[in-house]
Amino acid sequence: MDPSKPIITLRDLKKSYDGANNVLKGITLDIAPGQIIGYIGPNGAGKSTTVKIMIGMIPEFSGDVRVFGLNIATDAQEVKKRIGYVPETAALYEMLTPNEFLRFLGRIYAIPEAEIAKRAADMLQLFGLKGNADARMTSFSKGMKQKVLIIASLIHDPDILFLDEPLSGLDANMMVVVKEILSRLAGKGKTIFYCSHVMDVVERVCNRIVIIDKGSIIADGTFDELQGMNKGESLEKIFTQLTGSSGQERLAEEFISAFEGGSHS
Amino acid sequence: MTGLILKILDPFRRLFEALNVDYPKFRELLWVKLTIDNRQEKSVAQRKSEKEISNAMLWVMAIYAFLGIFAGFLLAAIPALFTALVFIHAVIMVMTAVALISDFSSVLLDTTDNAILQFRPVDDRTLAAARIVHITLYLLMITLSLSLGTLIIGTIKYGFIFTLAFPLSLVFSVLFIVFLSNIFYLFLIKVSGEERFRDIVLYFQVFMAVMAMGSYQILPRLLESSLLKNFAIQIKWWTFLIPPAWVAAPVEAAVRGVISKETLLLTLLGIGLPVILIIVVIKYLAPGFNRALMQLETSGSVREKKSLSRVLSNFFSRLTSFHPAERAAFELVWLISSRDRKFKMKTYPSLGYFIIIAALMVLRGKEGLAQVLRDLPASKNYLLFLYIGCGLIPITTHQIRSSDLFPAAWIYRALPIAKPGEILKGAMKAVMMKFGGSFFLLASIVTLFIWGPAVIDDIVLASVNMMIITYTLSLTVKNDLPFAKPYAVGREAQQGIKGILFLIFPVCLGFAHYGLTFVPFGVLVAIPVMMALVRPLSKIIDRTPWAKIESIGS
Repeated sequence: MDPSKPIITLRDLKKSYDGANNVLKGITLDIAPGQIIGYIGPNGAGKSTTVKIMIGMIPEFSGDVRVFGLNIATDAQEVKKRIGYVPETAALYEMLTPNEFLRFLGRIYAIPEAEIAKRAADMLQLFGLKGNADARMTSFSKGMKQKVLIIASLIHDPDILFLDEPLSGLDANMMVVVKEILSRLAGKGKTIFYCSHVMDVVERVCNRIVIIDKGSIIADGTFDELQGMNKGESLEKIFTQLTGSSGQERLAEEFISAFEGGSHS
Repeated sequence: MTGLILKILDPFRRLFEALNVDYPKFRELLWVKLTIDNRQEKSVAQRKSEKEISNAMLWVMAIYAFLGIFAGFLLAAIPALFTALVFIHAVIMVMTAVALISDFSSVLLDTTDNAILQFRPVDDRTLAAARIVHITLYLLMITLSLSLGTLIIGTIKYGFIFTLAFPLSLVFSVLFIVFLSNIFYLFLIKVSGEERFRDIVLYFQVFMAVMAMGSYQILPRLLESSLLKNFAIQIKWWTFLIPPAWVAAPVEAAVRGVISKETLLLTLLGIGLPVILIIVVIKYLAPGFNRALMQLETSGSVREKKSLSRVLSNFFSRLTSFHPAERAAFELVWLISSRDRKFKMKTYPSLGYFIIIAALMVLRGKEGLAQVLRDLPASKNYLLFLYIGCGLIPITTHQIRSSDLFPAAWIYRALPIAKPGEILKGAMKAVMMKFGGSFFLLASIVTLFIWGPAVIDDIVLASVNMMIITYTLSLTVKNDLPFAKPYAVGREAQQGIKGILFLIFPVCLGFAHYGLTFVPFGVLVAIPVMMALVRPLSKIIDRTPWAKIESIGS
């Protein structure tokens, strides 16, 4: 991959539901290979929608989206072969076992049979799921399902990884492992698009941070650059400065009095 | 089983590839779907037994085989083979269409695997092919069960050529139905938007199911009439417009060993049209279908602040439920049953069917509506009207246990509910008021209008009995909290049968009531007696311990 050419380009990406409700109001973004992009924003800012458009899950939008230089509107199938995605909600065929599910995916990606089996066995073992490899996922905890999702997103060795809250449900040790995996993948030239609400993880893992609010990009740069522009020492402070109405403390107080049945008007 | 099905499909690989279906991926998708179906039934406790065909599916097939016996009688009753086959294929086609619409349209309209597959390299055409074949397989199983009776009678009457030719003809009628319904749904999606589409589908499903089941009631009556015995369809130009005739013709030709020009033409239609439809749907229509379905999902929010169901549920819950938990359950059941389309789709057809059967009982042996109306005031048919409402309760009760949103039932365990009986009672009361009560009110008005105030005591007794029925039901039925279980393909059929069994109780009470009307003051005496039963029953339900509640979810 040519490192000087962006691997993902978004040009004036707009999306609305029902013609009126504008979720994305013109996102323009260039992402270089090997970057770890932290894509953050308040609830309902349009993060998941952006990702779903880039991976071809939402075919209707306006603007130009190119991944690997391919137009997602016309070449989605080609793009899909080379990307991995960890969705926000744990959508899995829970009636299957991890081995069966991964074998199924491997065949969808047309990976040789022996190769799938090896990769699945190795990854399951490393994530501590060896003993559960042939148990149905219906009984799995949230963390175990999340591990399977992460493995499923990597089984075909994708060039770009889209992650939507990938650490949810994982214990602290696993989080460290996954974070380390991500930085090593980036070191190998993989591009990672990371959506999250967990600011300190984004701050440490990502080498570029994009903040969106109400469907528009409001900040874009490295953590240091963002720090320089907005006098906050942590990403959380910067984030609340940029996206909040700075009334969080009052909001919290009012919230508490709402269920205490207090005299607050 | 799954492996066998896939092996049977493998020789057709070329055909699928000619349709631009990615066969290896298609095969994988189908494998996943079949595997999931096989495992759906087994709960955590049963997981050790690894039988692949679930008993549930066998149950369903047994029921359809039983229903199919009637179709077999047609073959025995009608001397003209072609005519008999046209009728039988018509019955089987309608039954299969009903099965498709009422039980498997969820498979056809399913969008859940989009979340897993949409970002992976699977094209819409392959996915659509997998879905269509998946449904077709189920319908084939049902059709084959349905035709078992016909097959046996046909073999006895016409020999082994029938045994071979008839099942083959069924394959084509199933294909025909699947593709027809696909086109129908696609048309609906294109014409109407979003929310409306699903509503239209729902009402169509209910209508179709009721009509089909109703016509099934009439068929055996037709059998008895001499009209059918001497009836033979002549091949005219309009015969070419009836799909059952297309598939009936080749079977007749094979058995008789004679092929006429007309038969050949019909055969060509029967085999050719489904194949042409397959190509049209998979190649041209299906990709748009999936895309259109996905758009259906992302529809705007519906505001329910002042909806009628909310006003009514609020009013009736205050009227009937006294504990806060009971009221909560009452309103939950009332509101969800008003809004959950799947619930409506499962419940309304059986309610409609039940009312049709009851109407047929009134009309039985009568000639024309005029005579019915003339005889009505002298009869005691008002009891039938009144107890129809009671009969609706057991049918609905078994439907409020399942929901697609069953995981939400965690709240029952998390909330400080000391007496789960209050939840059960609130839920049952909602069923009673909404489904039994609404019809009961209507029946009471009609009854008072026709029979006059003399039957007021009967109305009162019937209403007390309705409460007794409701309470007894929640005692005899396994104690399931409302909407706490997942739907499973086969279990519903089993529950449906249980629902019918529980109909026996209202029927018995109805007959007892009927008997009492011959005893002087019988009804008047029965009212306080039955009323005295209500309170102890209610107390017993209240005392239901947590241990007796079926475990939630799976």
